[in-house]
Amino acid sequence: MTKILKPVFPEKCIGCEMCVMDSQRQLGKVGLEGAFIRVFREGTKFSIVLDPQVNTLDVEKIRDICPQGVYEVREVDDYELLE
Amino acid sequence: MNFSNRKVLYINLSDKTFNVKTYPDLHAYLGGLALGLKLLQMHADEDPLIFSIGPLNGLFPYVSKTCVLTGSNLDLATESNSIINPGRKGLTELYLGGSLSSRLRFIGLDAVVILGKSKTPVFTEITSGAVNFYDSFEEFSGKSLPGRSSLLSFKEHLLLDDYFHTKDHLLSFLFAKRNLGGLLINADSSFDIEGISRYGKLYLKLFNEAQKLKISPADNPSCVGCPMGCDKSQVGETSGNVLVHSLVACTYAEEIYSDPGVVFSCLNALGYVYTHEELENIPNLVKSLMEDLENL
Ligand code: SF4
Repeated sequence: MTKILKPVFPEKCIGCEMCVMDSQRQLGKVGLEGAFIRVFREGTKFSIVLDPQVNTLDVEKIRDICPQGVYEVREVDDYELLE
Repeated sequence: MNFSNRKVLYINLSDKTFNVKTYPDLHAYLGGLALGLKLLQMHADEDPLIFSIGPLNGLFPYVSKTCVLTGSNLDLATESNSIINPGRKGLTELYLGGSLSSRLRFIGLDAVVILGKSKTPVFTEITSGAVNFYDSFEEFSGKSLPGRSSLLSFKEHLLLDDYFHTKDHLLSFLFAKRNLGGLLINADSSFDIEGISRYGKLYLKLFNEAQKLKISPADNPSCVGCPMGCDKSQVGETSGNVLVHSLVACTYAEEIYSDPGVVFSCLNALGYVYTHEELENIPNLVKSLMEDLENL
């Protein structure tokens, strides 16, 4: 089983980028280059793009730092991940 | 990252040129208000428009504002029908939220100084290696790096990220008087922090002190680096606590960032070398710069 991060309520996102920064800190760095999470802005709405490599990180930590409850952590079988 | 130098980008709109200067001798001015005032003093006769951030911007929670400074401008005050800064004579002092401070941090700049005036409307893009000038908004807006940019552009007024603005839309007047139609910052860098785990622990400690903020959480577009989504951030701030505004933290996080001990720990975790005395001296430094500017 693998834990994966899913943005289940992207419409609730307020663009704070706490998730982006946490994922970068977990990689030992700060900044935007090579980030596994991207928060795109369309006017005052936001959308989230995840690089699957984000699932190599502590995804529960990322879920918990989001103030809006945008993410859920799901456990999936490895074969589901491949699909 | 060199933690004692201050890196300043100069953009001259009159001849569409730019250059970057690194100042090893501006360490004492920390950032934001103090650094901006020093730059204002250095370029007082050139009518600069200055954007400055502090050493914690983009790196610690609730440190999410950008300081915007220019000299006193009575035409502007009349035009915008407002008193620019009743507390601080000789100065227009604004603080803007949104993504701007984070993007300046991750493009590696401590300040941007805009000089001169373009003959025709100009749209300016800042990247980590260059500044590009465009004649049309269409050309310019297409340059944005999704998820990594900060855009100041005119709708009815000048807005940052389509939402944030300054008190009485003063920044709109400051842009319009220079024929500056928009400013785009495309930040694409990252850097390592030595002792990331100590930094990470301190980050989370301060993140968990949200109860000290003078605002309530809501679901408005939030400043980057602040999880609150409050209803105060859209308009930004004017004058306030000198240390907080030299960082440049949010004024509603004053209880956290007006404490020199907390600031010292944050700076230390990032590798900046400041003494308690230097931090405690920032208000004096700012006071004397203000007095100087009043007398110019
Ligand atoms: S932490 Fe949550 S609200 Fe903030 S940018 Fe990420 S998904 Fe959006």
